[in-house]
Amino acid sequence: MMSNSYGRDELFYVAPPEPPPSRRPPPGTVGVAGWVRANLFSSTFNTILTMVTSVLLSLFLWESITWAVADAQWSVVINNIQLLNVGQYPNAELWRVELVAVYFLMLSAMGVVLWGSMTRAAMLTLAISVVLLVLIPIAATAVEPAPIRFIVGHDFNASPMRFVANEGETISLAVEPINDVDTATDENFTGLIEGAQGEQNSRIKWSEIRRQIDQGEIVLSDYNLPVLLQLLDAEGNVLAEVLSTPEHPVVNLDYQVEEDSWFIANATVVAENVNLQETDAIGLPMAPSGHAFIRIDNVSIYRTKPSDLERLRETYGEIPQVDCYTNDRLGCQTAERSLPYLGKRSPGKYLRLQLSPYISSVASSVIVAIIIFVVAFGITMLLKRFGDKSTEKWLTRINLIGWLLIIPITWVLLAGLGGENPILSLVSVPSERWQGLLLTLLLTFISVVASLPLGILFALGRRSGLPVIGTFSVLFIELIRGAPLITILFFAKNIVPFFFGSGADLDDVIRMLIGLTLFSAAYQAEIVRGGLQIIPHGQNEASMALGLNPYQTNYFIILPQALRAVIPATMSQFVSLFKDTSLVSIIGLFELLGIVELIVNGQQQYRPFVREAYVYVGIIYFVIAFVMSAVSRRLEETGSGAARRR
Amino acid sequence: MREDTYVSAADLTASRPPPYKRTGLSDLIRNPNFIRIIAVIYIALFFTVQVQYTSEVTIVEDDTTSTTTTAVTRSVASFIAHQLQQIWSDIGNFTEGFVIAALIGIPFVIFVFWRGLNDQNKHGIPFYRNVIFIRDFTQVIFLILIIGGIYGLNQNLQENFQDSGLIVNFNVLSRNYSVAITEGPDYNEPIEWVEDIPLIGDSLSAYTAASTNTRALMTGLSNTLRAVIVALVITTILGVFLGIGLLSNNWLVRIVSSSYVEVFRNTPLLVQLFFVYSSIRLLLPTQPQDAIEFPGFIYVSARGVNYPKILTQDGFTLFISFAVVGFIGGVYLWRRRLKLMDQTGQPAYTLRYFLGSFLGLSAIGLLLATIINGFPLEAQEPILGRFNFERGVGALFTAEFVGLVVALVLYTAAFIADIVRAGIQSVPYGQIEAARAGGLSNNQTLQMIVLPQAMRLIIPPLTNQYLNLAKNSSLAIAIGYYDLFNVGTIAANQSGQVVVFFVVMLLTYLTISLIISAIMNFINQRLQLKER
Amino acid sequence: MDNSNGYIIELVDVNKWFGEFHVLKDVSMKVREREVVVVIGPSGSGKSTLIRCINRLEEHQEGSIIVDGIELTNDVRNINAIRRETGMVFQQFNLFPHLTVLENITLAQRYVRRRPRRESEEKAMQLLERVGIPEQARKYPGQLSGGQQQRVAIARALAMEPKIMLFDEPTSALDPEMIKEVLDVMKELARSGMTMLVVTHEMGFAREVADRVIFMDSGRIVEIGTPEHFFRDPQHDRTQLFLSQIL
Repeated sequence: MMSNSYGRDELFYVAPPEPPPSRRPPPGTVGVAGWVRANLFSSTFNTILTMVTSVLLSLFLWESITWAVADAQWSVVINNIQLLNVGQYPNAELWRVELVAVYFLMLSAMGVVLWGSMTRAAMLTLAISVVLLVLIPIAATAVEPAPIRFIVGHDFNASPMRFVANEGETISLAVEPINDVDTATDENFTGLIEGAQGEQNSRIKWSEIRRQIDQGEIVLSDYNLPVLLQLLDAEGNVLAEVLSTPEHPVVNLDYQVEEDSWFIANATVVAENVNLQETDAIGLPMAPSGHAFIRIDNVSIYRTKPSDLERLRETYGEIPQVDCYTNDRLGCQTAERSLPYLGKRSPGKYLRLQLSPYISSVASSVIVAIIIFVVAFGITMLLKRFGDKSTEKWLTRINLIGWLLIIPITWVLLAGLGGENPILSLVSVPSERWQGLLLTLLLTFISVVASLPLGILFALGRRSGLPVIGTFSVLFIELIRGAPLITILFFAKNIVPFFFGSGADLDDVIRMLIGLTLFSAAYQAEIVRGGLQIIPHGQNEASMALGLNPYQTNYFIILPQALRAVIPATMSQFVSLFKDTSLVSIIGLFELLGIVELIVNGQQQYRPFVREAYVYVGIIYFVIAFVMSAVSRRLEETGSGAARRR
Repeated sequence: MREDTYVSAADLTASRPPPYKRTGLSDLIRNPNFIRIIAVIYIALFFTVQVQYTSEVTIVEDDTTSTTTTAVTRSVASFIAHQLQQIWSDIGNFTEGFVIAALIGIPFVIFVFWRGLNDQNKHGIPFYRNVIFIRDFTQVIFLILIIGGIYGLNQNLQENFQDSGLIVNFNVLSRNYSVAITEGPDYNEPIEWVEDIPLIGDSLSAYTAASTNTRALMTGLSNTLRAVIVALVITTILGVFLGIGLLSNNWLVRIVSSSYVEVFRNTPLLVQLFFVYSSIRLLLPTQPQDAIEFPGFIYVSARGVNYPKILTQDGFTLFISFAVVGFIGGVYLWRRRLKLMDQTGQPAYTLRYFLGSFLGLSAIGLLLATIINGFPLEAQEPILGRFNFERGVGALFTAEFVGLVVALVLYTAAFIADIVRAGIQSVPYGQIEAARAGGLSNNQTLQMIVLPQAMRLIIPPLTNQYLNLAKNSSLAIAIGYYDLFNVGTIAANQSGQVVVFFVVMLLTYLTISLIISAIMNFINQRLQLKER
Repeated sequence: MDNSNGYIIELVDVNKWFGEFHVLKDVSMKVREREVVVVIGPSGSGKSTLIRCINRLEEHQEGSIIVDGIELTNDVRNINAIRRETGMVFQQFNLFPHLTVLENITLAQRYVRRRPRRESEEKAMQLLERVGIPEQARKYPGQLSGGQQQRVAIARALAMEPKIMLFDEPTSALDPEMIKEVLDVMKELARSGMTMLVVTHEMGFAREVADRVIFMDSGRIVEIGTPEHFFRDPQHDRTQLFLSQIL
């Protein structure tokens, strides 16, 4: 027997009848602390990495957010929402675009109910929609009209300001002299300056004034500006007036509005009929000097877009004629959103002056869209729940027919039929006017729909056993895939029209559609080919052994399986196609990206803010592409394949 | 008896060659590739071989009809078209095309029918139900339709071009190009060495003389290649880092990487390009005098980045040859060391050997060159004149070049990151565990286990992304960078010859794609061999 | 068309090459109506190729194949007619995974035989009951076990009311515990008088049910005999060698 150091007790052991209680894991390893340690600080390298990344990330986020909130002028987006969305589509015909959107929404809602097995996602969407419906109006009404200030000065006369006010409101006018440093801030300047051409030069002029104040060329304490402030009605009759003298510069004027109409605020620097206190060394009255803010409160804020002016004309009557000293075509109107904001903004101001107006301008469309979607969703859901088999069959049929007809209907609605018949005719809108997000979505949708069958044909051709057809398919596919999209679009724009007829007739939009469809079809063909290769050859054999001919085999057996297998790749191709529609802007169509060029070229005051426009457009693209990818991932998980796997 | 019981008396293993295997001409005839080549040559002859015929043109002028006969030399297909038009005066282009194609296809049709009827006689199968006949006939019909269709389209194109006053003429390539191209080799200088090419040099040199369209296109091409190569290198590095970041066990790094990938993948390249370019133009100082200066004579302004141009002196070739030899030797040593590690388990120190060879030999080359001829490189700093940097002094990355490269890099890196991630993830984790359990270090595991297998999955989609990058470089036109597509479009608009320039650009891009594919395929093959 | 001398399948000097490789060498055999013939042999012997030639899944270069009086040529009509008369069951089942069991069985009925849907479904249910799994009608093939899938495949082939059933190693891909259920179906089929040509490794089935056994090796038919003679007293050396290795 070997000598060993084990005592008898170490060799035998019986567990106690009651197992000891489980202990908690050591405190640093689980829970939040544990997760942080494992994920962020697990090793020295990791710790350094975390710190460096945090620093860089914070810097980047800080810079981006401060730029977006304080420096960026989003008015380029806010004032051009309509251009960005539908371009220069005639205002009077916009209802047709809205009709197309309604049609699409209703079909989608029906589709979700009938085809979707995503009840949970639908419920989630519904919940989000309800939340948005509640929040949006709240956010939209957060717009608090800021007081409008504009300037009068000794060296220029302010243009009369025209604005509208409603019955029961109190218009408040005031003179705020700029006689100390605190009042002469950029924050207070939100208005136009007489003599300036447009707002850009207003800013320059104001910067000039500020500079002069800062460098002492203008002495604030020499304020000597008598101002006559008048409130006129639309015909030019004086309703009320007040005089601001250098001794009592701060004056205000309140007027109770009795009916909705236009008003004019006029501020003139008076040099006569006023006792000027100040005299110079030889006793002559000194010339007026200095600047003052004229402040207008409690007036309706509106945009100076032609469509808005139209509406104003209808409600409040003709716009009164005044002598506008500015060359700004729409000058002499108070329009808060058309006024650029100078200098840094606080987050509160950003929310109130830029985010809220944006939300309120898109609010109505978003709310209406949600309501339509929810109503259609609900009706279809109810019909499906409480109807019988034939109801569901009818619903499916209506939905299918609706989807089949969506492209022709959309085209006819957008293009119009022309003609004399008052009931049937729609004013024809040439496709050059289809711009903005409308054009992007149109191009994407039609190319997607057209390229899929074309791609399938090419893929089948490539894989057919017949060498002639196969060779041509391969040549065609590889030729298109080897060329950059822009050359294909170039080809479609310049050469394809000469294939049929003398070349000028073909719609630009149709040319681009041909190019995009061909391009996408070639890539789609490769994707479908991959799916076809996955199908085991035995499927073909079983089908042939049963007596099905090749067309039936393809239609019933091969293609359903192949197409289902390539849904993820196909959806990804569609997202690519959506992004690629941006290239038509190079050729000369003004879709979402191209319309930015139109905006900044046609309205020079927005030229310095073109990056804000690009960021906005980028966000729109991102949101749509991201949603498409997410839907595709969802389809992959819950859709066709999943049910069939064990 | 045979049916119920049977015992074979034959030699089981004896076999015969298949019946159609004969030697000689019949063997060649039945080779499908041979047939295809013959068919292509036959069809091509119809459109290329010139015949002379007389064409009668009837002119009606002031109540007198006169016919003039002229001798015309055209292709056979043209001749047939002419005759058709004599018979049927307003035959449409497509109909004309189909008839010509049918006429060309007569031998094929005859052959197909002959075979079918032969089968019918021999085996009694009606030809229209014969599987082989159906197959061949479908292809012949398809061929006729395709040729006829292409012919019709081409005729339409020609006629409509003529109606609009354009005649497709490839000589436009030798005409003048008159828009300034702000970067790349100056297109106003001819290419000298073309004349020296035997046989075709003289005729080619007309195209490559100064200021020709061809010359301009070549400048555009060199600009494209410059941007593409630089972007490829940088985006690969960035993409690899991002891909590794996607798999990091540091949550923060993961989040940052995946956010980057999501944002840059879902935004169109063109939007990113515009944003980057306008940022460069808006944020950087516009006047060269105000340019931001970096140590080493680098000046950054909204015009671009001025940096010292490296001029090569005598002895540079010597230095470079040493460096190249050092690089190749380094690669060779790397693989030798890996093999050694594989066989003996000793640590490989591959990086040290590679760097030793490459840097060491480069240093020796540099030293030698310096001793013999003086330092082989000279830096020419940009000199700031009154309003701008002096032309030709120092090198310039234009703002357009920088904008294009940056946008391409940022966009493509997002895709490469995902590919790299998928590749690394495809290596079963069990392998890494086994390697660790077996005692391999992190480095050894990476080099010998993970990377080779990951590369197999990474290379094909990576090739795809490289091709995409090369094609996406054509977006340069949007910001005014004079790449191939930009120059080509300008030339096409100037001269009106859209077809010519389109064909030239298409072929060039196809060639670039082919070259990139070929290189990547070669790398792919080598990687396959590496681990066998 | 009626067969002339009572044979429903006739192969005369059939030769097939895959490229250079001679896979069927001078194969001649005859099968009578209602007969169950089992083909056995080592892998690579050409037995699968043989029965795949019969319904034109493979094309033979020399010799003639006559099924129910119809010669198998390049004539599309003949090929379709023969495929109508023969049903095939594959080693890998080859069910259509995206259709339900019921749809698998009714698809060819509706679009080849042009039977109305209701009739096809009734027939399909009958067949499912015959093979023993009527309750699986609405399920997808992926949800069934291997044995169940193969039985569905048999039902699918039977739905076309063929005169001949061809089996290409029907049980080779099944787990051992599921082989029996499929063999039982095949035995019932044989008892009901179907002409069957079965390529298999299941010697038990051959011994019990076959009328004749054909042994192939290297592309040739080596020996044909009744099960009693074949298994007890093989004549050819090769047959003896083969049987000694597997029994």
